[in-house]
Amino acid sequence: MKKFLIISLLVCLALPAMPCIYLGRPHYYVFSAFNRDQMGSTYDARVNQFWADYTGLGEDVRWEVSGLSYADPDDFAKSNNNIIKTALKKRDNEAIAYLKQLVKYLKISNQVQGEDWEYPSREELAERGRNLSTIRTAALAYKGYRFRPQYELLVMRTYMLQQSYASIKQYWMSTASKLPESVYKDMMKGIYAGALYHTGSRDVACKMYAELGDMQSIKWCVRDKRNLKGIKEEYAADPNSPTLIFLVQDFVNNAQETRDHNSDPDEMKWIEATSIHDNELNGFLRFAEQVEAEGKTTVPALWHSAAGFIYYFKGDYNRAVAMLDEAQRMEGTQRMKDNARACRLIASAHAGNFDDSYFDNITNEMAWLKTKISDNDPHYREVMQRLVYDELEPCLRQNGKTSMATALLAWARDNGYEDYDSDYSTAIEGLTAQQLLAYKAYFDAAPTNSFERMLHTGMKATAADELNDLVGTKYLREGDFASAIPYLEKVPLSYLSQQSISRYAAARDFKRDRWFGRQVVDRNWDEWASNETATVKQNAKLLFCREMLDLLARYGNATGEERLQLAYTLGSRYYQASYRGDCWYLTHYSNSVYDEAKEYELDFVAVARIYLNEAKRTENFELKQKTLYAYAFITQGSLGEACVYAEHDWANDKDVWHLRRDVPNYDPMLDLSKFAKAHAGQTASYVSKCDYLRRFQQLY
Amino acid sequence: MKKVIAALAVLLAVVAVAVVFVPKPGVERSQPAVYYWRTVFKLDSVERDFLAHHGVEKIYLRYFDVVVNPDGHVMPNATIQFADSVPAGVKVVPTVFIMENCLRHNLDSIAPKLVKRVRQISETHGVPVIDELQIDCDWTANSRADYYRFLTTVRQLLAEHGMKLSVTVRLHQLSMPAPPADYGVLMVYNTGDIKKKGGGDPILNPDDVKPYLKYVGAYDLPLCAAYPCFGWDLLYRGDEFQAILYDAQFDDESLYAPAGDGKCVVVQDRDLPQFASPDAEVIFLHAGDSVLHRQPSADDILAVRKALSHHRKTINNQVIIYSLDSKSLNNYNSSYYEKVFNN
Repeated sequence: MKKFLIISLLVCLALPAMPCIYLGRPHYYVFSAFNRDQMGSTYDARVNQFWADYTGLGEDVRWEVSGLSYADPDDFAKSNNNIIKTALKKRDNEAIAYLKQLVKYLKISNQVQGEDWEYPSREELAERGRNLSTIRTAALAYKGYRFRPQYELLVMRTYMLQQSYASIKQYWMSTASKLPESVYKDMMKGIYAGALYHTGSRDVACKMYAELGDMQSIKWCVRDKRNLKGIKEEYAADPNSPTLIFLVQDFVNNAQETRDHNSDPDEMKWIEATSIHDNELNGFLRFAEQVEAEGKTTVPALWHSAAGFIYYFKGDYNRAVAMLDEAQRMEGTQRMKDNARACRLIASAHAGNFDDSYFDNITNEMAWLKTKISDNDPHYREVMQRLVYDELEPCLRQNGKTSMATALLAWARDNGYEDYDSDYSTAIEGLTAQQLLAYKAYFDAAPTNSFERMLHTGMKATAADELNDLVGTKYLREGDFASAIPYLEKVPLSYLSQQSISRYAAARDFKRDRWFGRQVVDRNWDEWASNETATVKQNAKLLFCREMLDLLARYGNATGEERLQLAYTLGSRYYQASYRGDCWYLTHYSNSVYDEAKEYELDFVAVARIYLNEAKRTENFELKQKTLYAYAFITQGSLGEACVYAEHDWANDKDVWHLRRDVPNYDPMLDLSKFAKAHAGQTASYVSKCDYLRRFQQLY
Repeated sequence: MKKVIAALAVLLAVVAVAVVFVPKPGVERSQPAVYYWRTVFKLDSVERDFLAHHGVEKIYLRYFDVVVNPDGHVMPNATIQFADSVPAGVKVVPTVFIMENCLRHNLDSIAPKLVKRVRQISETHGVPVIDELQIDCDWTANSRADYYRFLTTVRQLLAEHGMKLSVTVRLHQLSMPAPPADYGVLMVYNTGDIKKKGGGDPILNPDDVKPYLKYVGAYDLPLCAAYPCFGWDLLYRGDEFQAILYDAQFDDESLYAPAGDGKCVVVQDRDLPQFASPDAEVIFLHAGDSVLHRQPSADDILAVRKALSHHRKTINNQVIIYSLDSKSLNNYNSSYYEKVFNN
């Protein structure tokens, strides 16, 4: 085995179960001419940075900043707040004076914005106003340099709490707008924009929000312009309106959302939504051409990249790639050019012949995308996720490159792009034993292009034990016990004892009949995910395969009652090893009530039915009784297949029992019932005391 | 002597008949009224004209809601802000909406806080109040005992200040004993199930009211009635109800396409901030969603009004319109309001 055998099955090791519900993939937006996370939180991060530098607390300072409003401005000495404590320790009187005013302001702000049972009296409201004026006076009286922008912000904030919009406007124009650039100035600008908005200057306010990147406020301001008509109007008013960046980006993202979500194309067509949507996209393409031709925009890269990405939506990938290439060479911000490049990468996944130049290009661009990923801006990480999971991996799979597609998922998982820890393990789970061996062979071979080299070097190597256990298990669940044995024989018990399924493997015996009782491991936690492990003393899968080979061989040679007895035993083993049995750990690495037989595995439940059905022909009283009981038991199935069921009568708070005859469980129950009646007084207690059977007989 | 006995018998019979057939009382100080249910009190010209034109001199003004906050405490929420004065000659009945889940908490300490807060809001803002408080709550059989106990406490506290207590009464509450209050307002709207796409009008469907008419006559509480003037735009995904759209601009052809019969369909995915909704939430519209406009007809409302009068003569002595909002008021013409208000 090569050193980089890349079948990393950590999920199987670390997790007891894969997600039992499909969460669906997020629709990450690709088009991002400006960072859509630029919102109020951006202010917070920048403000916090000031206090982080001041206190040396790093990111944790955010708790201290948010805790300032709980401090007592008249008794800083007793404060536990680390910002205040630091200022006191440094004997920084300038900082202490500012913090006192800030704390007073925050307290009033909380009172104004919060809800409490104590409602202020008229006098208290007046006092609140006086206090705000006092804070403002103190702020205006500040003659220093260090806290100048903070004090200016306090002035604007106090005006805002008093809804003194005229004062805000006046102060911004006369003073605040002339300050050097800083987060405090941006916050003041946001307050000024709010004052403009409240006094009827919506368009101007909106442009300011756009300049600040305050997404939520922009969205509200331009709520009636979020379409092509609105874009045209805004462009006509000002071809370089900052609002246009938001509107164009919003337009493209909405188009993507519609394309991604289009879950019911027939209904879309029926209501003509698709044509309306396409009409608007075509209208945008024409308008973007017009904008570029007029030459009034200073950011043609924005329009050209938006149009290029819309061609990607329309499936014209080559044109999309060409336009997005061009957009990178046009005038625009660096963000716009980077955005064009990221969009081009997405489109290029579909445009090519999967030859060396295709893979060289993808590899090169993925390496670039990796350099753009940062903690401060999750956008490019999301583009990478979209590229891997929604574009490239399906493309590769559709073009028969199954092993490469699976390897890409492993690479993405090992490089931290997997959101739910399930994509790769789901892909591995879906492989047959042969496909898994082919996947192994793919990595045993030397990489043939740059993309494969990237995948090979970017993944964690995995030990042989995992592979052997997995291949053996896959053969086992396919019913090919002989092929499973050579692989399972190589798996050491120490490895098996690390698996989460070991707690079940150590405690449950596949030789016991499932219908005579559940094998409880931990009554409280059996049905919950757990990372607990247990030391196993034998490889149950290996023993099971050997036993099955022996049973099948004897069954093949047996006749008469001996064959029927073996049929019963085989039925019991198959059922116990199925997803419904206690020993599901033999065939699976996880278990859920929603499980059913997959197309790549032998349906052990169905096979069990066949053997038990045969065993029912026995003349032996004991075997007949057991088989009828077993058959009735297993046909109850899981959800909603039992013929006896209860509905709760809430008015009388009691269960009301019903019988349905149209389910597979009915006939086996009828057979068992007839048998029990015919042999009344002779049947075993598991039949004579069966409350389910009794209920059936009452309702029958 | 026989004549005396006969006269007594007649008198007794008359008294007995009077006891049986005496009409249930209406509310005191009856007059045309409106609910005001927004969070900022500010009237535009349409709303002021409406009050003047219909002689409305009483506003049931929602002061705040009582909710269980994320910390599990029963707290006031969405308190009214006064950006306008109450028109001259108009009095206010402070109204408080209580979320039903609050009733699972011990409200003994809440009652005095609530009364105090209501009085303080009125005092702080100089609201010309009628000496009355109205409590609105969608209580059920399970929460009735707790609610009534709470109302009893509130009523006692109000009495100390010479104030009365009124309550809203929903149709489904009519079959249960009347709450301890001075009078009730029968809410003749929100009668249907908003989640049933194919059902009748969820705001007011006469068929939904019929089963409850039998309780109206004998309901042991003075009653008046509140009628709707609003419509809803209801968003459905398939048959599943999603949200009420408060800010929808149906002339945006890139987002909505008409589909006839008061229906339109969403043609593009979009998130829709709903700042006008009570929770300022964001609704996600998906292509293929449908929007149904629901608004009861004036004829249906007037028919229900008539039926209620038939079962309880005094119930329409005072009529309240829900709610004073220029967007809603324009849904009906002036003659509708005249007919609803006037006996």
